[in-house]
Amino acid sequence: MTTETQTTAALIETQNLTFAYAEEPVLRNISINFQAGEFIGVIGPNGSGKSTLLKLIGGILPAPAGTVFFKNRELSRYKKKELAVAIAWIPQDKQMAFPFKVIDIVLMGRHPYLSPLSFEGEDDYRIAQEAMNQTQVLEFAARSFNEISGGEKQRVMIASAITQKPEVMLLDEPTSALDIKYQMEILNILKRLNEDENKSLMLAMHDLHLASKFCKRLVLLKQGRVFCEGSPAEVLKKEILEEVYEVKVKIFNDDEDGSLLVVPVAS
Amino acid sequence: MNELQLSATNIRKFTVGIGPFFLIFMAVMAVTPLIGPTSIDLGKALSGGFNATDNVDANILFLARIPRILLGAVTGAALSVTGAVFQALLRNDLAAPFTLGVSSGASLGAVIAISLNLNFTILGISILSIAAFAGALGTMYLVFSLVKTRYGDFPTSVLLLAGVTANFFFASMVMFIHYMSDFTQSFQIVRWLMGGLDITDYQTVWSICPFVIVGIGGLIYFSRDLNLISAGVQSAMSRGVDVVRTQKIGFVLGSLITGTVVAISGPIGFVGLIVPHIVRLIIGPDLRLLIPGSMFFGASFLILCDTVGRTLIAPAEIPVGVITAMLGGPFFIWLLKRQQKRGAL
Repeated sequence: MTTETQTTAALIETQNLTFAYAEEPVLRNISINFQAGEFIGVIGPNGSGKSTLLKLIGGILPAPAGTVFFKNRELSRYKKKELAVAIAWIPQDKQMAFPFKVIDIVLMGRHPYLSPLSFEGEDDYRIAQEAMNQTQVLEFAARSFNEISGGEKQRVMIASAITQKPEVMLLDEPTSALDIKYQMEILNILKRLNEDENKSLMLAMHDLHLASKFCKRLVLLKQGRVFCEGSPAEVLKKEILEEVYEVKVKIFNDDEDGSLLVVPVAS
Repeated sequence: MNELQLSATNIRKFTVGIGPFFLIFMAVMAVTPLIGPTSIDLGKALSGGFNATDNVDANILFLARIPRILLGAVTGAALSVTGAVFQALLRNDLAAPFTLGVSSGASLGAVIAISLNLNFTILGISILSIAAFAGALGTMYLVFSLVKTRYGDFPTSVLLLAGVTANFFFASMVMFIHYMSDFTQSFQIVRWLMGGLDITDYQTVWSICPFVIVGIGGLIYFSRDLNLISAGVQSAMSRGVDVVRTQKIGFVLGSLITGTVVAISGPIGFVGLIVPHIVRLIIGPDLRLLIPGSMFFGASFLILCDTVGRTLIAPAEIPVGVITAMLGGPFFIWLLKRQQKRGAL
């Protein structure tokens, strides 16, 4: 009898990943794996290490030796440009110091494919245009990035990541600062990327309802440790959430799509 | 669009962006040698040949004005490109060789070299230049490690504070050395500290050209990497930029060209602040255009400032550093107010 782990090699794997910015570890002994085509939500209270975990997996922060692997090879053994083609990390939207246009930002995703001293070519523009079409920001192409709204910025950042043509996209709280309309827009874009283009996605999220609605698997962190992981129905349980978030909750079930609505109860 | 048309568009993007600055530069180079307190007859100047000692017009043109203008071009280009690159690396348009204290660090290096009576060369490079480069690089390292946070952000207030602190500290060191030095050295130091493009000959200009050309060339080579860093350090990492390496290269090359020109011209302030800013307003923040644009415009700008300096109260001269500071002070305050309005402070 062959074990499952042998037949489906993990795309990304962390082994006993412990990480500290200073003295106190932010993450402790994280061992998770991530198969191709998954849509994973990383949830947990503020300061539980969600963003740090994504940055380590994305190669933004240096992981300790022997802890983070992409296709069974350590991240640090990839060239920077190789890794950029494999994994894209997408930050929360923020202001730029300089007045870049939307198209400039989207084209920056093409960096790993360009040689030094070159400008983007026809192909790069075509790829950027497709990506902007996919995330519905084509009409802003010539606008200054700093002047568009938060939801539009997030879509621009996603378009930029799409032009990298990565296998994995890591998104750090892509919906946190947005209203419900933009939240749905972003998540539907991500859902299409996952279902139609088989992109593997990992999102740090705060909104437990959206996490249950879109993610196939959830990883719940508490104080830098994996508290539990599994399907939304397995993770979003009253006793688990009350222990992790330290607040009384009620959970409602949406009969239409099976998503779960978690609401805190006033004590 | 086929391949050919495509490369044509890229060339077009570049020429449309850089062309005007190049034309301004050519015009400035052509016109400013003819401007000065003494009017010269170009025909007469060119008639006698280069070594005609009795040809006054030729002497003024070839021995006084042209080397000075060439030095102005190299210095202006170097300071402006450094400004553009430091602004990108620190993601702050208030960063410049002067505001970060890099110029005064270079000054300290040069003044130490003068006060110790060091005047030998290493591999053909004068010790003054080497000391100025060391001072510039040391300051950059100091300021960078002072303002760097683990998130890769450089808050404006911390950046300015670090720059001002470095400036004051090095200025007081310079004063101390000046105070302790004997009369001849003291004169040399004062002369050098006043800054200016007048202490020059062709030999000096040619001696600094290789460093400035290599430095600017290197920065242009890495301009797309620098560009991505200017849009965000962590995003740049995710897009495949070797951020740490690019930062090192940018700071070292910027300090190299700043140190090189400051060793000759003395501290000339605010050029690296004003020029990249104006060029960015015109052609945008893309460093692949901004670096060459700043190079041509910076050269033109400093030559023009120096032309004003040597004609305004002729026969006396105003050091070019005074002109740039008088323009730069108000400009800096305007930038600061603008950042404040945007809520960046």
